[in-house]
Amino acid sequence: MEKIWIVIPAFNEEKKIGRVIKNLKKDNFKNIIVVDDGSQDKTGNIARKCGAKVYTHIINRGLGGALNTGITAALINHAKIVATCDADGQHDTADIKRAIKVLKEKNLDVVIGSRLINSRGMPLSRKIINFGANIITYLLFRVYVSDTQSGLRVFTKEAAEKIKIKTNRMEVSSEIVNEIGRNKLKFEEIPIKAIYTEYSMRKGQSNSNAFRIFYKLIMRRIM
Amino acid sequence: MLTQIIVSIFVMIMLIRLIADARKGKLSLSKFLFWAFVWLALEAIVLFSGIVLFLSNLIGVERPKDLPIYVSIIILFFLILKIVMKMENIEREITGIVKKIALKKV
Repeated sequence: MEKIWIVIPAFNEEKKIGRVIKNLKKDNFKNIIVVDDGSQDKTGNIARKCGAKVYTHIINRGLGGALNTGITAALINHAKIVATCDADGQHDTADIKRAIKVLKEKNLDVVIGSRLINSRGMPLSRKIINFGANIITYLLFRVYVSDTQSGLRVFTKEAAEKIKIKTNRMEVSSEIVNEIGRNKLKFEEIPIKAIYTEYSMRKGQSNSNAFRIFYKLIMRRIM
Repeated sequence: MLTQIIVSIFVMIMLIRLIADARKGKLSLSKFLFWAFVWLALEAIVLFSGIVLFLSNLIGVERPKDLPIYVSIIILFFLILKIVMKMENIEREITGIVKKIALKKV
């Protein structure tokens, strides 16, 4: 497990980040990077105390910016495998393990954890937003993934190097799908459990964000 | 008549400034030609109102007075697009700087 690095982008997650890191450690993930994306609470300090390597954004740049920094940091730390997961505790560490196993066994470049292959437990409003995002992603980039907005992804070092993140905010999730297509990376989705709590629902994406993502992705195509 | 005089004076001033700037080397040739064309076109439209009539007939705008408004909307649209793209670029550059600082200070 030495060369596996977990990247967690976090913005004001002091309530959850500690437990997320502890769970990962319990499951034998030793190398954890937290990108503190300009949080105004104690996210960074708590993560550091729990034993994560913390990279701090002096101002908030959004999910895309944080993932970009985190993945680069993992590569600087000689990661062979880079996994990303959310800081709000919605991912089960067992799923990360399984995703890494599938990546290795099937010799893939990328594995995405999909909450929609088995979407029990996901609120309907979320399902609709996700479906919309998938269609937009498909129309723009010609790659269909059942859960483009998933935060659980595993990359090989080579794949992580090839993926170029340009967008700053939530639209990064669709951008990564595009990069997978553009670089012709071998990828597979595996079903994962999503733990939806009232807390994780309050954070994350709102319905109006869908329009923003659409607009930003079009801008990315133009530029 | 009054409009023609005012616009002509304005165009004259702009052209003088333009030529002065070009002599000082502040403008590239393409920019100089672009602005010279804009000001001369404005002058031509004011002096010979038939041009607007001809152009609006050509494009299919029924009322010649509407043409400048349509053109303005198109120009504004492109200007806004340019600004939005510039902002996107600035955002990306800021992220790049923030990333560099984060990677330096661990």
